[in-house]
Amino acid sequence: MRKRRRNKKSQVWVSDYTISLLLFILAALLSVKIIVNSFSTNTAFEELKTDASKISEILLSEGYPSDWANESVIRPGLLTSNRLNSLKVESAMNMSYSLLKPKLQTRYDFLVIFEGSGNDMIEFDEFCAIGNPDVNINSTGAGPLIDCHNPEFTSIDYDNLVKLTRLVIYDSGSTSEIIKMVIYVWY
Amino acid sequence: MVLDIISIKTNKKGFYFTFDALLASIILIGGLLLISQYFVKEHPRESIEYLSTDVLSALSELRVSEINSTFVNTYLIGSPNTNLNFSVLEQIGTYWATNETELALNLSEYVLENMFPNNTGMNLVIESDVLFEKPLANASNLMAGERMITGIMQGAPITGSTSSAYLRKIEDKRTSSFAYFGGFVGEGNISTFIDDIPSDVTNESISMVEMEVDAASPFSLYINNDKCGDFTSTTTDMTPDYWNITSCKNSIQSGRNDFKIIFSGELNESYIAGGFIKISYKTSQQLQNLFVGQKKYYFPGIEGVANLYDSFYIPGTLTNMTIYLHFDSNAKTYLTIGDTIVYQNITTGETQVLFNDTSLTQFPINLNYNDLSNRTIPLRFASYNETYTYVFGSNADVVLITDLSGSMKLRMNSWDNPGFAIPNCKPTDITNPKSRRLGVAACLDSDVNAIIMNSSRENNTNRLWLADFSSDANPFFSPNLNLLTEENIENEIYDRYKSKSQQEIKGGTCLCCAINQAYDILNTYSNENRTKSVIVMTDGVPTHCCGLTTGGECNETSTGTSGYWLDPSCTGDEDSCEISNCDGPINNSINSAKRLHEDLNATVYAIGFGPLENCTKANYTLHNIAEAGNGSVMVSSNASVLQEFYYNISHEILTQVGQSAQLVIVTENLTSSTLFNDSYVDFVYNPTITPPEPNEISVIVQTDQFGTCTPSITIPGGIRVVDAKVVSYSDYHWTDTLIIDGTTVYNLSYFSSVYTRLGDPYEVQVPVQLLTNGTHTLTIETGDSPINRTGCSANNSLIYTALVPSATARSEVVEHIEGCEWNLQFEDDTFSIKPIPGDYSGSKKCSYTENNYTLADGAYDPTDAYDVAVYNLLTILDFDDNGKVFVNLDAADIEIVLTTVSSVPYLWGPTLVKARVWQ
Repeated sequence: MRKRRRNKKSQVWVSDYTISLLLFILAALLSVKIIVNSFSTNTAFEELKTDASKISEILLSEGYPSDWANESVIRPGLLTSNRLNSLKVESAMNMSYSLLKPKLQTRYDFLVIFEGSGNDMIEFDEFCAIGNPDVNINSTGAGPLIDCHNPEFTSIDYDNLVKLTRLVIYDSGSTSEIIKMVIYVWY
Repeated sequence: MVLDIISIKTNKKGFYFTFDALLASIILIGGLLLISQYFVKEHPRESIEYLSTDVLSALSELRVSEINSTFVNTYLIGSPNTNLNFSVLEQIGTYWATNETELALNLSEYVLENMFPNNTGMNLVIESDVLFEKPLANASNLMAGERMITGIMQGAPITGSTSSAYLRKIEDKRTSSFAYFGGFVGEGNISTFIDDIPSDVTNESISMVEMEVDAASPFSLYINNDKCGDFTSTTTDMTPDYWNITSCKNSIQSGRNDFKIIFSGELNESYIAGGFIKISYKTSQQLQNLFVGQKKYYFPGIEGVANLYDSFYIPGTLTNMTIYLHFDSNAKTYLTIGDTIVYQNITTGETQVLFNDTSLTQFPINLNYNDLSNRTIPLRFASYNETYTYVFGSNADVVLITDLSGSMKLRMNSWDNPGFAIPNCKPTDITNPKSRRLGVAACLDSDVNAIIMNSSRENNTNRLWLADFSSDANPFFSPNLNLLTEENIENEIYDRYKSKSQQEIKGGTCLCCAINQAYDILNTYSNENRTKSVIVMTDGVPTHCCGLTTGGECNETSTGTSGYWLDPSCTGDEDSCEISNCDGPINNSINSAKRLHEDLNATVYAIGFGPLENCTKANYTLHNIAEAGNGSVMVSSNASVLQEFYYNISHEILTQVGQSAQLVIVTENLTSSTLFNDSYVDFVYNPTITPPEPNEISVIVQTDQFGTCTPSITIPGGIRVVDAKVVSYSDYHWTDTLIIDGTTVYNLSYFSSVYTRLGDPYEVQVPVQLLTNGTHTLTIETGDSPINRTGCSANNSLIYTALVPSATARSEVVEHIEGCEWNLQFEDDTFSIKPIPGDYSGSKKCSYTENNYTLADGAYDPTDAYDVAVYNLLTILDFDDNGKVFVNLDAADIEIVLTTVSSVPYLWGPTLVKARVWQ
């Protein structure tokens, strides 16, 4: 009797021990990974920020050539005399996303919109934004009468998304005003 | 024991349970983390790093005129500080600086409202004042940007005015034209002209006509044949008279104006010894300046006896010269440039002579242009028959010493053989080598007597004493001055020398005895107003001393007239020529001659008779006697040579005395001569003066009259002298010396020691490089020869052209720009009240005077751009900082001009504007 009980106990010990050891090792590995990740830079996010900055710098320049068109553009800057040039913006909005991406020197997806002082999006002709066409932008009306609203990023799948806001002078006809250029970059 | 076993088992079970729970917990937490890592999407991260800088950039770029006009017109336009050309940031800063903070808040609110995400706070701050704020609590991420704004400071004005001042020759320029008279212009009626009166000058534009001349007698002045007036000199020699003859200005016209001076006195007193006629007028024409390379000197016209002493100055390197003479004379006429006789001829009637550059530089004239460049060149023109002239003031005292020692009985060409007497002085006897030395000497003494004591000359007050010696000095002829006539002296020469027998000619050679006796004669009978000359003749080496030392040796500085023969080997004949035994008597003779010259200013001429050319000691003695006596020497056995030398020194003495002045007195049978005033000297040169810089303006400055021959003058700091001349009134003497700080810049004897051949400058040029800023000592003198000094005029002065800085830097920015009425004091202690700018009519008073010329004195308004600029300019022109402006703006034809820029932003700051953004 003593002998049987001693054998059963021994079997339980071995299986419990084996399973718990495996779990422990797995948990330890995961913990180390999490801890390490928590204390290390999120390199993907930093890259997104960098690309957002880079895109904004390119856009807030005169571009090259300074009177570029879609066919000739090398650097698609949107300014003329330090003011947002509507024609350049329309050209950029009208460019193929796949062509524009390398011009802005990014491998991530992006979207650029312009907002006035009331956070309303500013439309340029029939366009609402520069960049990824997959992002759903609520709008009403069509053509030159289009009224754009905020983009909905729920329509796309992304892991990280960076939003960068820049201020720029926009000559809206008889007056000029400061508007926001909002850049989203994600992957 | 059993209980212990049970208890142990229980503890073991608890241990395993705890361990399991720990593992489970870790697995659970790890699982949750994994789930959150892979299945929960992160919220988009928003970056604000650019917002602060973007805000400032946009506000700096956006103009007020670009923002909504309704807002601007409603809220901003009413402010005087609203500037549509400002950027929004500048405008906000301006409102802030001018205490319109509400407007600054409105504007920043209008521009920045709703510009920032909801989770973002922001404020705009100038210095410590918040002008816009979007609040957000709990900031964890703050970004700040800064920008500087210059030109604003809270509570201070934003813009002001700045001004600069410069001197400008006024368009209606006041200037002067001169006609100068040279050192001596005479004798007779004089004419000259001024031909540079601009065409726009009328009688109304002539402000003053002046005349300052040193005239010898009353005269009448005619201007363009209109009589201006009669004038009488009231001053003594070397002192000019000044007349304001502006009342005659109606006779003056544009272009050429002729002036004629008609003397009413004797021809001998019809001359001008320096001076000028000056016409001051207004014109808008530019006149010739100092920096051209060509000038023309015009001779004055002289009707009477043309006797001109003048000069001209070549202010650079002479390259070409042309001389044209136009005169009417039947007498000997000559022109001297420097010491070179350019022309000399006896002509008949009116004559015109032209010398071009080639003829002037080639034989026989051979002018050396290098010697003339950058010099004051004396110029002498004369045309009169010397037969009818005699020299003014014959005042020569001459002692003629003749050697009566034993060797004088020998032949002229021999040390041994006696010569024969020549009492009648036949020319063939004189030149005969066998003639007795004393005989030749006596004949030449007669020649000297005939020249010096020429009884045919009127007013001949020359005096000639005969002195001779052998072992001692013999009694001289004569202490009775009344006996000193040509005839009496000739008789005495015969008695003393010509009639001597051979036996009577004996004794040693106490040369110093005779020279000391000459000293005693001149010291007793002559005076400082008479020239003194001693002609020392001997035929050998001196043998006797004139005194002894206490030791019984030769006293080489003894002054006695009795001789001491101390060394028998010193015989005075050929044997003494190379030995030193006679050194005592030799040195005694030289020292006696030196005493004559130093004490009495006498000139000592030395003449050696006989075969002395190779006699070292005799030559040494005679040359040193002449050198010590500032005279000349001749040693020869050739009677013809000696005769010529006697003749020359007699005339030289006569010249020094007679033509000790520039005046020629015409006594009888006047042969008139005329010099026409179209005669000229034209010269081309390369100027050495550096032209004015754009920021310099020239003014002419005349110092006060010197009052002394050694004045000190001060060239103020900050100016550059480009032309300077000393004007010297010398009457009928010669201005012969000008020394600046020990440097001789003009020495008439450079050209010749015989001044009568040379011109006499009224203007003596001063090399400008010597007139640096600071104090300088001048020496100006006149004389009739290098040794006959005649002092100087107290009325001499220095006239120089100075370039003064003409502009100030732009003043600092100040609030006002109105102007002021300035009370100015000049160095000549005159005052002038000037509104500056010219159209200022306010009541503000400013001052730059001796008593009030600093800001501390309240001299001007430091907040007025005009006043600041004018004050800065006046400070520049007050070189010695004494409250007196160096340049008399009225007299120098210049005015202060202001250039002003208004609405100039102040250079306040920089003021920091900060934009802070946080999340």
